[in-house]
Amino acid sequence: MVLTVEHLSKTFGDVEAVRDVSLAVDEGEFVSIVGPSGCGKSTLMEIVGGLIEPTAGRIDVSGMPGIVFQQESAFPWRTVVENVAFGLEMTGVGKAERLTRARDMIELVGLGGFEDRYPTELSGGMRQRVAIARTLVMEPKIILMDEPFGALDEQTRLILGEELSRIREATNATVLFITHSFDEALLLSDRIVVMTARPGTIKQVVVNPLPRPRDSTIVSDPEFGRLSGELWELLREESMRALAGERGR
Amino acid sequence: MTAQRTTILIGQAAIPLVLLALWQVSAMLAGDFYIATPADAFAALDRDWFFDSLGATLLAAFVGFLIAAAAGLWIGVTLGLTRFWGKVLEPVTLSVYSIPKVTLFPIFLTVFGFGLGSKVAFGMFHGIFPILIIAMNATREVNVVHLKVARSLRLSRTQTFKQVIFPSIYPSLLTGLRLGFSLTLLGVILGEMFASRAGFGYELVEAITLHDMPRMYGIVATLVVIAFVVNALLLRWEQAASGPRRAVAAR
Repeated sequence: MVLTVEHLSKTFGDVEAVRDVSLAVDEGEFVSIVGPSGCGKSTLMEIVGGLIEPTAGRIDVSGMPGIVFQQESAFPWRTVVENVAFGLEMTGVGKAERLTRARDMIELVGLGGFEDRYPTELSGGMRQRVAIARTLVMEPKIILMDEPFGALDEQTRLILGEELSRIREATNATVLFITHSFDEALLLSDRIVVMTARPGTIKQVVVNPLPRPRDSTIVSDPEFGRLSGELWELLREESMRALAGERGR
Repeated sequence: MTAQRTTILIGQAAIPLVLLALWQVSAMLAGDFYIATPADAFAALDRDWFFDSLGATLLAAFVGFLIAAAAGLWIGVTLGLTRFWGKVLEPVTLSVYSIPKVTLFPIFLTVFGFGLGSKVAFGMFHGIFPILIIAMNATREVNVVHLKVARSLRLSRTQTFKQVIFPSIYPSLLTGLRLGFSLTLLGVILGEMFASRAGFGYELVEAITLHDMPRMYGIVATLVVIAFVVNALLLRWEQAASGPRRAVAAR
């Protein structure tokens, strides 16, 4: 197992964000977490990423997880290649080697030709590719992605999802992916973890039977529609509860 | 694009000439009892005192600015980094900033004495606030996601500062320094006007007292030129520091 989470709980003051979550991710596996907004998905990810401490429970993760955030995270004062090489630079990889590795990764995420541009010269989708390349180049044992396409429009999301699927097949990366989109989850994952409204617990784990590799045309597959419906069934009640909770506040 | 840029540059270059022409016309209309002509003003800049004054004012402004810059940047960034002291001291810095500082000059005079000490200290006191406040705010407003990236890569505090915080705040620090310099110069000249026997501030008060209009206008014009030139140099540095990223973002 690349990641094992056991009985994890997190409380902020008197708000219980995550309650008793146990989860394991195997090498090469792509696991998505879906759940209503405010269900503690991001909290769970930040705990696994070592950004915050859990209140209770145990995490066992091999190596240093790479993280791709939802918000813009490319440094505006660095060019694309300098951004992608940043982590390598910080860990003391020599200049020639880190530039070669960064350029290869830029090519892989489809940004070839934009190496010397600054992030402000790119579109939102391209900037997110920079963030993905910066994480992939470190070759982490596991990559955590917190709604990486959440701030993008629908078409760009689908295209980037497809690209991520391709990158994943090429690198055999292990990914823990947070999303609120079933389409994204079904396109990309081997398993889908459905969470309940706050306090976030695991409601059910759905194994994705769709054959790999997949591309975005899979959205028109009848099986895809059936699975999407099944996921919505699971989530509908939780989303209602989350909404009622918000109104009650 | 380039043709437009050339036109803009010509326009910018023409502004000093237009101001000079306005000055000439005003002097001719008002008469030399009220306004000296540019030519008279220039002729009045006598070598006997001009270079001594220039040296005295620039020295005081330079020393005052260096101290203001070093202390302002250090305190501002530290306050920005440490939530607790930032919160505790923010009301103090902002309220001291709002005091008309001239009212505190007697204190500077008694503490630092007549001459160089008090005008350097007074210049520094003027210049430090924009530098400190802008540095503090810029440090506080460093993008949280960038800091999370640093933490996810397990960067040390020094690495995080050098690689993430400093590049984020650098353009703002230069803005603070630019504003700080013009206020330092103001403080120095005020100090010279009240308690000094050297520098443009002192000469200015003397010229006003003697109703020596050419000399007064000559000094005023010189100070305007110094302020303009230093400001323009610092502004260029600032724009170079923001680099292609801001320029493109603003397009």
